[in-house]
Amino acid sequence: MRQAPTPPSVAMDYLRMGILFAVVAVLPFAIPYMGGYVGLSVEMVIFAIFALGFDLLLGYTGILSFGQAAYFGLAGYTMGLVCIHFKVPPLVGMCAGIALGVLAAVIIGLLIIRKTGIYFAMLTIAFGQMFFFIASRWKDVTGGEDGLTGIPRNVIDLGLFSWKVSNDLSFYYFVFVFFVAATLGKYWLVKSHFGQVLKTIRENETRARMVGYNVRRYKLYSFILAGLYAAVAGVLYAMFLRYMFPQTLDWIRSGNVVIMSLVGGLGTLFGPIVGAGVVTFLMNFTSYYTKYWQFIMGVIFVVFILFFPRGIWGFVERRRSRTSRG
Amino acid sequence: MTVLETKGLRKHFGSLLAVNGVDFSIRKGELKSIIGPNGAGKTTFFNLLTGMFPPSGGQILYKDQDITGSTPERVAALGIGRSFQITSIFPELTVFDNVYIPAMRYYSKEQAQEKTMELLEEVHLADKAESVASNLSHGDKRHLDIAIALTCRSELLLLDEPTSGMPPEESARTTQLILSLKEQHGYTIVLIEHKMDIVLTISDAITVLNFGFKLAEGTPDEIKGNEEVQKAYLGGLDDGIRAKASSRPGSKAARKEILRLEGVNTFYGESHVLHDVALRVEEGEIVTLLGRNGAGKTTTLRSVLGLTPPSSGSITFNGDRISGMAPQAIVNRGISLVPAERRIFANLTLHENLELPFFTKGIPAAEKRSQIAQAYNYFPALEKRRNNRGNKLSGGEQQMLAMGRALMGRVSLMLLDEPSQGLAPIIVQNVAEIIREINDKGMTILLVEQNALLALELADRVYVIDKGQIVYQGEAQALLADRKLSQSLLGV
Repeated sequence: MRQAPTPPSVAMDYLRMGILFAVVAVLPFAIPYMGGYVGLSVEMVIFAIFALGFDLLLGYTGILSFGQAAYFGLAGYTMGLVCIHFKVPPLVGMCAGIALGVLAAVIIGLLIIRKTGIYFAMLTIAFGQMFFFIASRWKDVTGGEDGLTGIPRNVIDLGLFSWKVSNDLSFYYFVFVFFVAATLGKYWLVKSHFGQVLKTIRENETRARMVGYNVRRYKLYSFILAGLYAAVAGVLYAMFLRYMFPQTLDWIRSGNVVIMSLVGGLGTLFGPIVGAGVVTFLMNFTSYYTKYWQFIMGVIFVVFILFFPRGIWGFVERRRSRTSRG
Repeated sequence: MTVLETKGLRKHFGSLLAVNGVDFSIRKGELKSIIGPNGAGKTTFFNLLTGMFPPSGGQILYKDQDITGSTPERVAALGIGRSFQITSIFPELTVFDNVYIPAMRYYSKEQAQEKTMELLEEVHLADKAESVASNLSHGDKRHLDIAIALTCRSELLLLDEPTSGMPPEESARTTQLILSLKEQHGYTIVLIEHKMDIVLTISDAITVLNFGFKLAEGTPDEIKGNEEVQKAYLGGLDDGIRAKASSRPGSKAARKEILRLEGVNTFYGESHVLHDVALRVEEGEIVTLLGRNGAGKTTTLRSVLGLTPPSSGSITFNGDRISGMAPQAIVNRGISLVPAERRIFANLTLHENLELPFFTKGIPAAEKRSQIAQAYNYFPALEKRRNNRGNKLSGGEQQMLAMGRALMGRVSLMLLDEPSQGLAPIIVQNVAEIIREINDKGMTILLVEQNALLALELADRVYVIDKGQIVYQGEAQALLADRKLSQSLLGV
C-alpha cells in the first residue's frame, strides 16, 4: 500500500519562527529608522498577540466576531482596578484581569455559540457594546469617559529576581515573552488534532458533525481561546498605557482586529502578526500627518480586500510556492 | 441480524408531510435501495436517520438501541456513515486530510494514517492524496465523499445518490466500488439512487417511496413486476406523448429561420472546444443537440448567449448578428436559458424567485402580474408551493420554477440545458409533457440532453455533437427509427 504523504517539515517551521522572533526582538532598535518610536513597537506586538488569537476564531474556525475588544478591555480594566484598589502586585492584577476576561468569554460563548454567521456576529457586537456602555457610564468605578488612570507599571517581582518594566524598552521585552508564548501556543494549537478539527469546521460544519465531531464544543473552545489571547493583550495594554478608556472596549477596536487579520492573511501563523504590525504602524503614521487618517486606512483596507484577498502573508506564500515550483 | 429498523417514522415541514409513517429494516450485510420520484422523502429519510433533524413521530432502532432524536455526532460515532447527494467535502483541505482528520476521531495517529491510505486506495484516490480537494474532478469528489463517510468505523453506510452527475463510465466505476464495499468489506448499505439499471442489478431489496409513503418493497424482480410502481415511477413516456409526437408533421415547409450558427469556434482558455459548429433552428421547432459528456453541448448554448463568446464564426438571431454582443443584450432580444444546475435562489420563496427578473427591467406592475400568472399557468403545481423557499423545493419543482422563470419576458427562443438531470423518471415524463406543451403554445426550443431517447421523442430535428464537431444532423424520428445509427452515435 502507498505511504501517507509526509507532513511538512517541523524543523522548517521552528526555523521560520526563530527568524520571526529575532526580527521582533530587534524591532525597537529598528523602528526609529522607520519613523516610529519604542512605544509604537510595544503596541504593535500587543496587537499581534490579540490578532493571533482572533485568527484562531476567524481564520481557522471560520467564525466572525465583532466583539473581541470586550475581553481585551474587560481584562485591562480589571487588571487596573484590582491593582489600584487592592494594591496587589502587577502579576496578580494581570492574572485577575485574564481570568475575568476568559470567564466572560466562557459565559458569552455558552450563550451565543449556537448561532451562526451574521446572527452570531451581531450578538458579539451586542455583548461587546454592553461592556462599552458599562465602562463609559459607571463613572464611580471606571472613571467613565475620563478613563481609569493610575494603573501601575513599575517592577515585576518574580521571586528570584525582579524585572523593572517602567521604561518602554524594558516593558517591550516583557511583552515579547508573552508574544513568544502566544506564537508557540498558536503553532501547537493549529498543528494539534484540535486545530485540525477547527479547519474541518471552517470548511464544512455539517460534514464535521456527520463524521462525529461535537462541533459546538470545538467552536466554544476556539471562542474561549480567542478570548484568552484578547485578555492577555488587554492587560498588557493597560499596563503599557497605565490608563484604560472606554474606547478600548468599543466594537471599532474589535473591527480593527478583524482588519489586522485580513490584511495580514487569515488562517496563517505569520499573517495576523504581520497584519497587526503593519496596521498599527500605519494607523500611527497616518494619524501623525493628517486628521483624515481613518479615511486613508479605509482606502488601504479596501485595496487589500480587492487585490490581496489572502492578505500580505497569503500573497508572500503564494509567490514563494510559485517560484519554488518554477 | 437486523442492523437498522424504523417504525412509523414521520416528518412534516409545516403542512408538508415529507416522510409519512415509514417502516424500514435492513439486515447485516444487505444492500437495500430506496427509490422514488423527486420529493418522495428519500433524502429527508436519511436526514432523520442521521439526526440532522428530529422526527415528528416514530422510532429509529440501530442494533436494537433506540437512537430516535440523537445528535448527528452521536449517530456517526455509533457507526452510521453517510454520503451526501450534493457533494459534501472539506474543499480547501488536501484529499488526505479530508479523510485523516475525521479518522482521528476514532483512531490513534498511526492507525488513522493507515486507515486513511486504505480508504483512499479503496476509492482510487491514493495517488491524489496531496491534491487540494476542490481541484478534484466531480467524480473524484463524489468518491472522496464516500471515503469520508467510511471513516467513522462505519458498519452501516447511507449513500445518497452516489452517481449523480456522472457519465455512464464513471457511474459503472462507482457501482463497482459500492459492490466491493458490500462484498469485500461487509458493509451494510442503504442506497438512494435514480439510475434504475444500477439499482436493479446491485440491490438485494428495494423500497419504493412515494409522497413520503412506502409504496412497495421487495426484490428487484418483484419491484420490476409491480404495476403500481411502474405507474408511479418506472413508466417511460406515456403513449399520449408518443402519439402526439408521431402525429407531428415531419417537416413544416417554409418556416422562418430564427437561429443560425455558422463556422462557430469557441475556446476555453487554450482548449479548443467547438470546431466549426453549424446549426439552425426554425420558428416553432424543437431542435435537440445530443452528445456525450464534454462533447460541447453546454458550450454551444453558452456561445449563443455570449457567455463564452466564440472566437470566430457567426451567430444570427432573427436575421441579426448577435455574436459579439453582450449576454444581457442577447437575452433582451428574446433568448432565454434554463441552465442545467437551475440556479434557484435558495433563500427566496418560489414567488420571489419569479418576481426577481422584474426588478431590473422596469416593467409595469400589470405586466409583471400577468407574466407571473402565466408562469403559474404553465406549472399549476408551483402555485401551491409559492411561499416555500427555494431550498425546500424538490428537484422537479426546481426545474419547473427554472423553466417558468425563463418563460417570462418577451422570449421567443428557449435554450434548455439538460432538463432531466437528476430527476426521477416520473418527473422526467412530466418535464417532457411540459416541454411539449410550451412548444405547442408556439415557443421555439433548443434542447440539450444526455437522455437521448427523451430528446428524440420530443424533437423535430436533431444534431449530434462529438468532440466539438457536429457529426450528424437529421430528422429526430428518422434517427429514432434507425436503431443501428443511433446506437453508433449515441450508444442507445
